[in-house]
Amino acid sequence: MVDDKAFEGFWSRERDRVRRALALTLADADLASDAVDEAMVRAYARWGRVGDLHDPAGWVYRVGLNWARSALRKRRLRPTASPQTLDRAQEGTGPTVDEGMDLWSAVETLPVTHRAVVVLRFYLDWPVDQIADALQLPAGTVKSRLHRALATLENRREVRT
Amino acid sequence: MSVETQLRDVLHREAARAPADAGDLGRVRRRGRRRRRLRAGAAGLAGAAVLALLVVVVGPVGQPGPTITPVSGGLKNAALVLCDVRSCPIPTDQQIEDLERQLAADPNVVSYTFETPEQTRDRFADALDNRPGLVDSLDVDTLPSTVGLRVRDVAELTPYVDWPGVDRVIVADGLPLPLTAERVTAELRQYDAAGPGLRLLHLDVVGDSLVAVAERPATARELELSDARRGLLYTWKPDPEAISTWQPVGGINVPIGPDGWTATTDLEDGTRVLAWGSVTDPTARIELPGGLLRAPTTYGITGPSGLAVIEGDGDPKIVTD
Repeated sequence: MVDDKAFEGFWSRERDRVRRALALTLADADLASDAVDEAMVRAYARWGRVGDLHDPAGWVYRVGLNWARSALRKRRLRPTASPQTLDRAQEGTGPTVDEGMDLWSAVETLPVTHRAVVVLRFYLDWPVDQIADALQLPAGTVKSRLHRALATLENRREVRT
Repeated sequence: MSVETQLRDVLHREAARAPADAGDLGRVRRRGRRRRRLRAGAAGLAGAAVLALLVVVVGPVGQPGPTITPVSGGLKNAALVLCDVRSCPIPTDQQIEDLERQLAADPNVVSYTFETPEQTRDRFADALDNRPGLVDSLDVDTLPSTVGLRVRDVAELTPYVDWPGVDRVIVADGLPLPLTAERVTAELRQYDAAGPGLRLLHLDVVGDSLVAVAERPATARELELSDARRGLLYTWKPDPEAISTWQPVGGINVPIGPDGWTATTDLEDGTRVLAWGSVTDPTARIELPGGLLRAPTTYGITGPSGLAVIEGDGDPKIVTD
């Protein structure tokens, strides 16, 4: 039997955070919503095991990311613009051309594997070990991806300035 | 300001701009319960009469170890899906040893192969790199694990079973030998529907049997399996009333030279399928005077081979310069 209360608590605490983290990683808010829901369905189906994990949110993020990348592969599409950007365009405000916007544009150009560690580290503020556990990567790989991603972003920032 | 600090600010700002979406907890629960029931059903496959197969089930973590459940009938050759990699835990070494011991002790089992979901994933990841034409059809993240068995005493063959996480497992046997996974390809056909087609999750050959695991969206029309040398082997029409109908559509292989052949087959809807293979001449192309090639570039996995759907009159030919 599923502990519905425990799952509901987990849903309330983590669903939106993970969805937004996936939206940043995938640069596609709609896909992120589908992905987090698919991952939540799988988590609920085996909550007895997932709920006992050290980091169920990491499990949901990983499953959602794998599912979304699989969906993207099938579509043979790469997201070209974030829905946030589209939202701003629809609101008529348009993107502000400032340093922050330049940095976000640079983040969007990172490979998704690097974007994932950047989002988990600097949006969810997860430590390296937690990221490694969530993505099932060695901690050294997480560190090297972070290092390379930051170097890339720093380099692009310097080029712009 | 350091790039790390700025990055935090930017990510939080962008995340806050994502549209609000509270989600639907009730819907997630309903889907989760349904998936759980399917998984529970798979764990209890022993009583599933639809499986006229020798079933091997690896139980979830914390449950009893692997069991072999012979069901009446049996197969000379069978390729069985062990479990869906999405829902199946990786068996422990002890579980694998227990499984192998039981297989070795079963008098009906002639031989077997076994691999874990992770091994399956790795094998198909390599295969995908070598078969770019199948990338759209195979989803390495959802590949099932398989165990291949050669079992004595053929009684009957059940052509498909339901399985959690996939919509169809299709097994065909008695295929003309030799048959290898490297030569077999599947083509998904949609004659009159847009949208996503039938998605092939897994295709493998064990002995003279072939197993295809596929999802079946409503728009899919047919699954065709072909051998790169023999052309079209089987057509599967997803008609619930004729779900077990594997229709060998055959065709006569007509050699066109020392390194190539073609074969044409008439389908029920009046179209024809041209199969060709082993055409190593890079200048090879199809010519169809008076006809229309509907899908002329569905290349197979071994190079210049594949299938083309033909409408209208005409005598299709593979020609080279």
